Amino acid sequence: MAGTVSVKFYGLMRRRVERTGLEVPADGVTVLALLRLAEERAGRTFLDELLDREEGLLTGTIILVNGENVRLKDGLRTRVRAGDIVDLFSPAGGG
Amino acid sequence: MNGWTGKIVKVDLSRGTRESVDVGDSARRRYLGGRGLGVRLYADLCPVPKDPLAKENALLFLTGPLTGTLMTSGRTQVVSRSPLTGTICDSSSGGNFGAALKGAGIDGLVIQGRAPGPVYLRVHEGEVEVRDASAFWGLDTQKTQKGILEEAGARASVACIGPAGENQVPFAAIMNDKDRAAGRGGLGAVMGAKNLKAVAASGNRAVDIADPAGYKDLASRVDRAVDKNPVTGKSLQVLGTSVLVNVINAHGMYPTENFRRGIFNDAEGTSGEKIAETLLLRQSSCFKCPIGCGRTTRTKNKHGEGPEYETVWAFGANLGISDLAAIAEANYACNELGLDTITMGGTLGCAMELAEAGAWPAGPKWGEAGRLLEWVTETAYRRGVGAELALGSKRLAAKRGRPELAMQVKGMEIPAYDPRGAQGMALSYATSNRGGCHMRAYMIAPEVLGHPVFLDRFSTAGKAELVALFQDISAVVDSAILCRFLQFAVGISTFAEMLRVVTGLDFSDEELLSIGRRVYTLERLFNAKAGFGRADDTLPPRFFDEEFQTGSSRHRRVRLEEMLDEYYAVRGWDPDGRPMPQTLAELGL
Amino acid sequence: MMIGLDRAALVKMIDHTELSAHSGEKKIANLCSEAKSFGFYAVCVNGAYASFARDLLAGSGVLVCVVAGFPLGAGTSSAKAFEAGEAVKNGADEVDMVVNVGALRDKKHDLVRGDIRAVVEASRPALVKVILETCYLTDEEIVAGCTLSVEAGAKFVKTSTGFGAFGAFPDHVRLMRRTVGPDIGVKASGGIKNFKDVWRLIQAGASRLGLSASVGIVEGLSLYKFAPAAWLEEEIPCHICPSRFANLDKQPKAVYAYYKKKCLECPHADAYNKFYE
Repeated sequence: MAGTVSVKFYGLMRRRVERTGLEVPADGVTVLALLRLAEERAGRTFLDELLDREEGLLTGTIILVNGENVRLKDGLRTRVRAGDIVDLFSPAGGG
Repeated sequence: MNGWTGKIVKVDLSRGTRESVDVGDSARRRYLGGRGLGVRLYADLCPVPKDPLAKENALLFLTGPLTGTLMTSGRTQVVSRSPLTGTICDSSSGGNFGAALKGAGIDGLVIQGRAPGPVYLRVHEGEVEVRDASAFWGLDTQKTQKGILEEAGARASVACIGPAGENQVPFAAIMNDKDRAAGRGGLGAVMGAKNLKAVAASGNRAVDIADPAGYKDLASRVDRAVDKNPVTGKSLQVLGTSVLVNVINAHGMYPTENFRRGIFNDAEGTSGEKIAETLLLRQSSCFKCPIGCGRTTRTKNKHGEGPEYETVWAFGANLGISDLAAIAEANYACNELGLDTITMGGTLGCAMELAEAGAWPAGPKWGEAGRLLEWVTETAYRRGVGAELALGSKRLAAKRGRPELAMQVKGMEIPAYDPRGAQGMALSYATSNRGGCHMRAYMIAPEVLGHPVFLDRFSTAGKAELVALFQDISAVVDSAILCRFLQFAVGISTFAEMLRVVTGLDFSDEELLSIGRRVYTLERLFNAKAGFGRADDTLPPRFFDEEFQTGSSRHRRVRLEEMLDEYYAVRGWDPDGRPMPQTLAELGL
Repeated sequence: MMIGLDRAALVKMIDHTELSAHSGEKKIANLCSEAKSFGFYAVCVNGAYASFARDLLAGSGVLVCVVAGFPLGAGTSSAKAFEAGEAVKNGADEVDMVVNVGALRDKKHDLVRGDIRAVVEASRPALVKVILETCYLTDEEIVAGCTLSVEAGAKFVKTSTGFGAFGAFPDHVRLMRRTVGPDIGVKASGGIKNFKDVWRLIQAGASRLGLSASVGIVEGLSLYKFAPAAWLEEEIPCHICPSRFANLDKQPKAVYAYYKKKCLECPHADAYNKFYE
């Protein structure tokens, strides 16, 4: 969709947000700002599944921008562009 | 004695005799129990590697000093030489069986010989009885357990083999407490080769705790930590291990069609989220476990446990199959027949590529979900196409002239993480003592999940040291014995404290690490005697020669050479991967 | 391969902290229980829980640290002094007070010094730590805050309340340590999540740590001890620089601009300028 970032929810995130994905009109904002916009658009809060009290990433939170983990870029300050795909995973595990 | 019972029972099935053994405080201190003690005892009994299916081979069931105490302490380790790989092999199973053995008054069983006819062992009040099992021979694992429980009493716990173990399929599993499996390595075949159908254990012997007040305090602390942690407290319970399907797929490393691709088009349809929506009845737990990662599920006509992440991959993306119900039913069938799902799926994937390549025209074809049950059943009975599938991927591919199409390390099929997506995982697979195993050093935790700290999965820096450390810690957890999932919530210092309060011995982190290292090195020594060396610490050519073209792990190859020498150096092994005399001296080996 | 810091030394640097407004007795009791089990140096709690914590910790060797004028520091000196004195009567062994940040920024040094001195006097024999709240200050102001704290008789300077714009950074700890010298304590607090953070702060000169994630961090020590290469890879400087975390929403405009300017003039700017907005 033009001028939007695709935000995708997985795992327990889906229970919080009650959807698997969302198009958020945004271009050039930080991931943190995008998440807040997504909360607004979804009408649900979910940041506490991903972030701690000080708005840092929880151990185990995975946020991918076009497949790349934001921890290898600029963390929550990573800028996203329209057309980007952002995958959100709250901490999960398995074997 | 605190923690341990101090009693191990040696059983000679050829003569029907039983003998109590006290391995001594020194062995217990230096190897703990479980995998560690099992490997030590096995190496002593079989200093020269024996044919895994010969009667001289030993099969061990071990508990650890923590078995029957804290949460998740119901697990068992089974140890022997694997008929699939020829390496030493320990196989871990959940449920209650370990706690039942402890409750029955023993730390473990050492089984040698071969019974003249089908038998099962009845363990109760410190005694082991050899009983006739002809009524059960030929039955699947569920009917076997039910039948034996009628004889042994409903409070017993039964570990048994199904037709696959009876037919000595080299990846036959040992099943306990309905659907828990000691799967990898085919130790069910060793059991079948001994005409040992099952072991039933029961008893009320409580474990003696050295420091009851400290134990109580620690137990509630661990409880809180497990509850607070989002993985152990929430994710595993609600969505199970298959929550990883979408995670690994999003990282472009979800092995699809025998590791030819890293993205599966229908990951979503075979994910943990989908299982929760469509198949899940309720979650299930092992002995004293609040994590509850088990899935009790049903399809239209059947029900059972699982599928777990590895299985949903092995019968799903690996084969180009997206029919979740078919995958679940194949999983139930593996549980009933007693087969390791990872090797079964890995072998099928290899077979499908062989068929496509023209090397096995009559072999299975990609995506044929409707035939999964047939393939699994035929394999357990070694008939039809199953006669060849029962070889496992390495022998099958070699037989069919295309050895490079078997995705295996040392003969054991590689699990659900493509190593081109995580360099540390590549090293872990290559240096695993029991072959293609993801659990020896679960590098996915730091490299993908970011636990306990996030590492760049495409970097090789620092991975060697970490793989060695994780291998050692895992060996400790497998020797204590507790569930690896606890590691998401607590660390090695807590394990040391657990052992201190239960056994009364002053274990420290350092000592635990050296126990882990000792166990890992002893396994390596055995494998060296069995002919394994540097040449076997490798991966199939696909991972060095081929790259994904799409997804976030595209254009990557495994860079094993960058890490392997460093790994040997960290381990104190020579450039051929043999433990050096000084290393052995430090570990008292 | 082991780092030169063992668990026994680490736990004695930790003030195990629970300061949330919404934390009740259950949380504080848990806090004290963990502190006893692990042997942390002290627990850090709000005033209403001073005697509760003292009673739970009696005989354990774990100290009680109580905050005063917290978290804003903008109360009167006599109010802060009273709060501190009462806390000590209720069992506090240490008092963490918040400096009058506004006065410090206004360069009203006598006021600031007097404010701290009042608390120091009222707290005797308990020791006082002065929280500077570095997220609202320039380097110059941090240096002044440290100097005034020492002049007024405080025994520690401390980076943050944990409720401000950001928490402890190695750069600030280094500055504070350089200013106060070796004999005054430097406590790093706020936003410290894992052992990696702790190690950097200790190397920068921290002698005490205010942590709520204490248990996980102590566990982390074991892993780092045995495999340092993996854990202690050089961090990209921007990831641990306060300038990177400057936030116009949460900081005074002048402070925000100060940090942004620093970022522009940073020698690392060329290598990492992709991080600059």
